Amino acid sequence: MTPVADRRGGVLARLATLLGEEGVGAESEVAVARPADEEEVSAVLRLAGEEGWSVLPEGAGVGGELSPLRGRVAGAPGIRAPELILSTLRLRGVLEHEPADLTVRAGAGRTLGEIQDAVRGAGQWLALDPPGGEGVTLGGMVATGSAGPLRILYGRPRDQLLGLILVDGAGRILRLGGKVVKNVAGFDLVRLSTGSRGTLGVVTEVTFRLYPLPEADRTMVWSGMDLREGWELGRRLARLPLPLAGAELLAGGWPSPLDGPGVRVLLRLVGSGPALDRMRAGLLEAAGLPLAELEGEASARAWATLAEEAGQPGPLLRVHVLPERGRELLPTLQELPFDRLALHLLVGTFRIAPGATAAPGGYERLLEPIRIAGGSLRPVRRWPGEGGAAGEDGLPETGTDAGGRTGGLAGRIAAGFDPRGILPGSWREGWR
Amino acid sequence: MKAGDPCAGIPPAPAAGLRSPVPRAAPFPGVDAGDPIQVDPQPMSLDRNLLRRLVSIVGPDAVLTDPDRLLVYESDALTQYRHRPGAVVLPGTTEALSQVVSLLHEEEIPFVARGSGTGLSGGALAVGGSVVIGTARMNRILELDPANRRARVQPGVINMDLTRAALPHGLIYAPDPSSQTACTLGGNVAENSGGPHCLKYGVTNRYVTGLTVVLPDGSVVELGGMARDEGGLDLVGLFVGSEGCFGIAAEIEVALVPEAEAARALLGIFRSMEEASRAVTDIMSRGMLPAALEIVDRETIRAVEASIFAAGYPKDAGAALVVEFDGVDAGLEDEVAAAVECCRRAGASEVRTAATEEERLALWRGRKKAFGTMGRLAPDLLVQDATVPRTRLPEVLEQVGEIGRRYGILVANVFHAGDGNLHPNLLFDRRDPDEVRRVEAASREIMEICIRAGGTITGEHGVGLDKRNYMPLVCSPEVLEAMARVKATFDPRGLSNPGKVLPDGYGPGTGAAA
Repeated sequence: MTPVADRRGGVLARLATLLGEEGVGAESEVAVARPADEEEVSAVLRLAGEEGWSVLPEGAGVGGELSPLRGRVAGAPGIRAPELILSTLRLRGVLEHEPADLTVRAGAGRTLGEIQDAVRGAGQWLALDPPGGEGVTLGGMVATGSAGPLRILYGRPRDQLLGLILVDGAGRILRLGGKVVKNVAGFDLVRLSTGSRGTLGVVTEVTFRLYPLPEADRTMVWSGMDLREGWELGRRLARLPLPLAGAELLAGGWPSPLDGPGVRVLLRLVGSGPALDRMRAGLLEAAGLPLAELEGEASARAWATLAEEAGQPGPLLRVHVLPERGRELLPTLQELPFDRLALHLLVGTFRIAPGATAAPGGYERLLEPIRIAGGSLRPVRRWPGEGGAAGEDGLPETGTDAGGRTGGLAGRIAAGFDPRGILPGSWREGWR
Repeated sequence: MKAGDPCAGIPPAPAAGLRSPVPRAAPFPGVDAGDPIQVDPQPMSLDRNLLRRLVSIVGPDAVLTDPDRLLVYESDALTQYRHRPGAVVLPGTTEALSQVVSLLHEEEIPFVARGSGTGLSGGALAVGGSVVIGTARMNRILELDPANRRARVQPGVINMDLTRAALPHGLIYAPDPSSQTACTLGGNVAENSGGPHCLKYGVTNRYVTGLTVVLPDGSVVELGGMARDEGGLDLVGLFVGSEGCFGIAAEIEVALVPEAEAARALLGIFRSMEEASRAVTDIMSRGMLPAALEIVDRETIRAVEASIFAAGYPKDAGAALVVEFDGVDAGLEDEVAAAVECCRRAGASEVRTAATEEERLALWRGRKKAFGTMGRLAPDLLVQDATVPRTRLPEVLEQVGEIGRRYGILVANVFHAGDGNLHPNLLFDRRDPDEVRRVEAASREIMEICIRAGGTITGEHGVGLDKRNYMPLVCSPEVLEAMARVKATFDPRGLSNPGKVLPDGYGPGTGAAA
């Protein structure tokens, strides 16, 4: 078995002939390829297939999941490092904005922020606020399929994606979907690709639908409660028949403007001025005066701060139950130490940053209430020094046995796209 | 009911014939001189032992083989075709459905699921004499969970009935296909159905959160689920819109949304579709997002006004535009006023607004009844479903009109203007073989101009049987192969709804060389 450094040298040399010097990097102990378009991605993946290299695609690395280039994968005991990291940052491609059709087509390496800047002048936006904020790449957003609070009004990335180009594990270039908002021509491989986390291939280009920028944007913040009171208030408000654009419960130390005494409940309202006034009146009646009200830019900034926090380093856990059953977890949560906690009140997912000092052991007390509530726990980022694979040292993943429930169907579908087994689903434990 | 042979009393299966391979299906097969309907030449014969075993699973009342009873199952809403099923089976539970499919899988008998048979792409047609598995008995709402805004239903539940059940809790099921008083949730899942309000609310795939699926080998799997965290491949998103080719949904979990506080509608009357489309563009570019934007053309208006559904649309109008806004009551009036302004600026000869709920429903009537009144204009109808980028609508509509004139075919247009989803209705008489040929040619040309305008072949009706040979116009061979691989993963034997979606040569069940 050749030493790591030698293998890396060989990989780099082969890649340089394919992509040129600017297409290759060696800033970590793993070789990095930086293809510039779908043809180069195809060539890299075909070469990797021939050579038997394991490949891990990576975008900007701020989305809160993993970042090989930031040391969150390589070196941890029990995790096999990839032989090649495929960076998507040079996949900038086109940026085609059709304001009259409310669509935008762009290379997957471009960031969400870039798109927002490009379409804002026409009074439009991409109504998505994924964890990690506007620094995430479009490809990363599609690969993780992650959605933020705006999803309750506008839907998730999977609901706003019109088409994409996917280069699969065998290097086949698949142009999926199109430019129109309704499209049922064939099986929905666009939705299959969204959230596939690199197991089917690399997304090189995307087409999204856009929305008109709302006339008004307002955030109302109630605070000063304990976790139980905050949850009850938050659920009561979130369940009002209002078209909310965000409904979150926050606890712990969040940066301004998300800070405040005790537990906070944040609601976001977007729409026309009169509609917002009417909604505000209803909320005041239901909950009394809020601690704070943010308008326009300040409102948007609050939610951007929330999104960016998810990309910060440190352990992160996701606990999910049906929204109403969150109540059953509160007694245990109330006793656990954590730096920050956020709960999406209408989706039911708690995101908990336990903090560097809290030990995983304490969190095992959550496992039984989660199981009783029919929910799941997934460590998104582990404690330093903790084992990486599901079932190894550290907090186990629980309640997420998707593979078991589908009888291996997901694995067989992915294998069709990755026959040589070079993409993460094939070689990385627990990736599916 | 006699003891002993459970098949006693069931008439023998129809005309003997060997089990036929899946026939090659063209979008509009050549017309037999004596019979204008394309009838499947070799209906399948199922052996008595198989029928006996089916009866032992679902009971004798739930297995149909009498040709008179099979008649209604020979067609869906794509009425040009007739395919006699080998039999019709009507299970009532997930367990029974699983056992039926297991049995058919074991015997290598193809099957096709059927809801209410309202599909417009031939998705429920029993090509090759497949066994039709009807979901009509699986019609219960299993769970209504307003606190979590979710429901769990069997596939045979009618779309409108779910909304009716949710309304007392202030919730609705948002996707509202025009056939919603008849179509089933299972059918909606199969086709990823849309409807006028999907402009604002989105399509079926946005609202299906979990599925219990009976795979083509009879095994039962759970996909997704709102109680499950997101992660892993989106198999729910893949299954929705798979048109019965990946198995049969036995339980469907959906998200419900709060009913909008209020809705306001207006009707713009225009001299031409061009003007109506300009109004639509103006409305959208002002940053408004209506709940619905629907246009009907002169031919459609004439048909409606001559029928019992006459809605008071002026008979000489070139086009009528229905605009609806919904949401928080405050502010809706401003949006309506702005939309009225857009209509006038585009040249509307008249704009009507609704002051009451009755008036709002009256404004919609012309649009809602349009499809049903087409029968006044000609005996037969071919409904297209092409979707183009909205800004290309005016030019595409003009080209559609030109094509209709060139082929001497009357075309009545009804469409979801906000989505660019056209429904040109090509009117003809199937007893006239030349007219049939012209309709096919016109249909193909319309499809081609829509694709050239950056569109797709189907926005909401599905590919089914009707459009499978047009798939290469929008999907490259690599993509068709990828779809075929996914299909083969779900259904290695090609038994689940064969002859649909993918063209010939793409895997099991599509016929001809693979």
